[in-house]
Amino acid sequence: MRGQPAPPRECADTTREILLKLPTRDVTRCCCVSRLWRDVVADPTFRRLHAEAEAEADHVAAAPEALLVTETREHGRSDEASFSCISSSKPASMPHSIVIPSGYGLSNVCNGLLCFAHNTAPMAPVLICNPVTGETATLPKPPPRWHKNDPTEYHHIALGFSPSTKEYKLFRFSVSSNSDYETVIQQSVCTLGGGRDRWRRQSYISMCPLLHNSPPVLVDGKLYLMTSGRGHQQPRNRNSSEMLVVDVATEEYHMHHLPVEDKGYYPDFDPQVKAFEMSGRLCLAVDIYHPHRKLQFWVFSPPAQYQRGECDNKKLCWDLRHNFYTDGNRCSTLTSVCFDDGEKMLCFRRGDILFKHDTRGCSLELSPEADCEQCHQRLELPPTPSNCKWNVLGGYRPSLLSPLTLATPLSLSYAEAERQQFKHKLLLTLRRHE
Amino acid sequence: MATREAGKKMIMLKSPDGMEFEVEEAVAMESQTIRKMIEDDCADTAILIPNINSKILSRVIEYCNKHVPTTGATGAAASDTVAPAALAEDLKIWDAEFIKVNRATRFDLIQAASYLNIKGLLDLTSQTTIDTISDNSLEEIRSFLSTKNDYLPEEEQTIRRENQWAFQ
Repeated sequence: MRGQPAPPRECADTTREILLKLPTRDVTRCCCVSRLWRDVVADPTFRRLHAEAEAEADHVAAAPEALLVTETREHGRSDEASFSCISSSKPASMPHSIVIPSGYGLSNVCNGLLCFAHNTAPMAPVLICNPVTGETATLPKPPPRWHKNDPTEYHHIALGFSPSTKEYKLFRFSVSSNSDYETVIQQSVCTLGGGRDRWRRQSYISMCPLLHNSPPVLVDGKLYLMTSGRGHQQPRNRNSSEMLVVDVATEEYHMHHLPVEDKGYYPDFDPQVKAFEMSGRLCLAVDIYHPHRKLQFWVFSPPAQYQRGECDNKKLCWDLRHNFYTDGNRCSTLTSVCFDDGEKMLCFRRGDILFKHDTRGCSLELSPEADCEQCHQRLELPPTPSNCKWNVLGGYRPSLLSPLTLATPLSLSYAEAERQQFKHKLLLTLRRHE
Repeated sequence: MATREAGKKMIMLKSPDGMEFEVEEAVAMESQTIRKMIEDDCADTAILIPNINSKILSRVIEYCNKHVPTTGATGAAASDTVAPAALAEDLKIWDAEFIKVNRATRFDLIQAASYLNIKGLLDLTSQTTIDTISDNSLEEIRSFLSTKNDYLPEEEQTIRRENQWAFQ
């Protein structure tokens, strides 16, 4: 064939047009086709257009995947987070790991972005990253807190996305107790990416504090946060546990009753409730102690319209999907739950044991009993090294969106400005002594 | 401006190789690029379409002719006799026949559809390639596109390893 090469028909434009119509996974695979394809994918403009096309759902959105996030902390080294896709039949590590500031932990997953926030300081800037590209960005600082020096105050940070408005927003929920029966939740919201760095704030009273160990979960444009019915000072005085639902687009909030009666929880503990995404809907795993030890999985259907002041009818919103009887004495608490959409596999972890339950073939007919036999698989997990922490997140949708498009241009924080001024003055002073 | 039938404005499209095509304005406006030119009044006489040769341009016009929404007298008559579902089915068959072209022509059509911003044609022309990419191995994609693997072996190994997560 020498001497008469085929004319180069594919050019960057054609390649770009085709790749724009493919899901992220295929685009990434295509990097390996040739140098031209790799360069097209690496182009920031292409990445932006691809993320936009995906948000517009021009092509069929890929099913949400499960992502393994491993955080490592070692003396003398920066904290690091690395990622692996575990949804495919051959689990594989993502090429990039990112440096996370010390004291930060994973907050939530939002489409193809992960949100990391400081574990205690509510004023620390939030870090978002894209595990596919390894890019990170620092988001605008949260606004100052309302109540000064409340030692009981804690917060949850969440990145939200609304499919209807295509907007990314950063939420901060600060929780402080008013009295034993009243909790104040302060909600601060900032729309990302528009160049505007303005926080909108509202506060509301809840009968119950938000659960510490239950980070916000984003499903289909709504953020879900669990509350505990236990009072601050007298934990045995219970209100009924509820779920806070915040709509990302409208920023309105609603309280929902949980499907399980509060007497089902162990009296000395917060309710063992884990929220996660199951095929585009919110699902709750509830560990029940009374009268029998059970693990129940409830699927939530948000009411089409909320009516002001009306208490929701919980029977209309919750469907019991699975009900496992567990051996009460030998089971440790529920650590994490996720659903693998590709394999339709329900996975949950109790301490060092991983349970896997294949939901294919399970009848989707709703029955009040929905009893399942024991879980299909019970696997022992390798012991986790002390400098390592891991978590499996569902609802991850790989994308090429650069987190930098959501970050406002870097402005000096107050502390940074103060430091620079100090350094300048110090240098001047030192020179004067020479 | 030429007028063939009452109420139908005609537009002249010129390809770089000197061919001229007279088409109805409604047909030309299937292309968002041309629509914008017409709406911005940049299209008084003939519109030169750069980079698209007459062979490809004539095929593009053929596509637009078929896909222009049937409005007015003839359109009403057509929809009276044929059900919309049947029309859509007919269009699908026509599309399938239209896209039976060789690889080179298909790439030229993708490029033309991209430049002229004709969404339907772009979707149609790139669909085969998209299906190929989704369902086949790298080697099969390369041979379908007649693309040469220009990576050095060790380079390819690295990039394969980096993107291993995307291979199922």
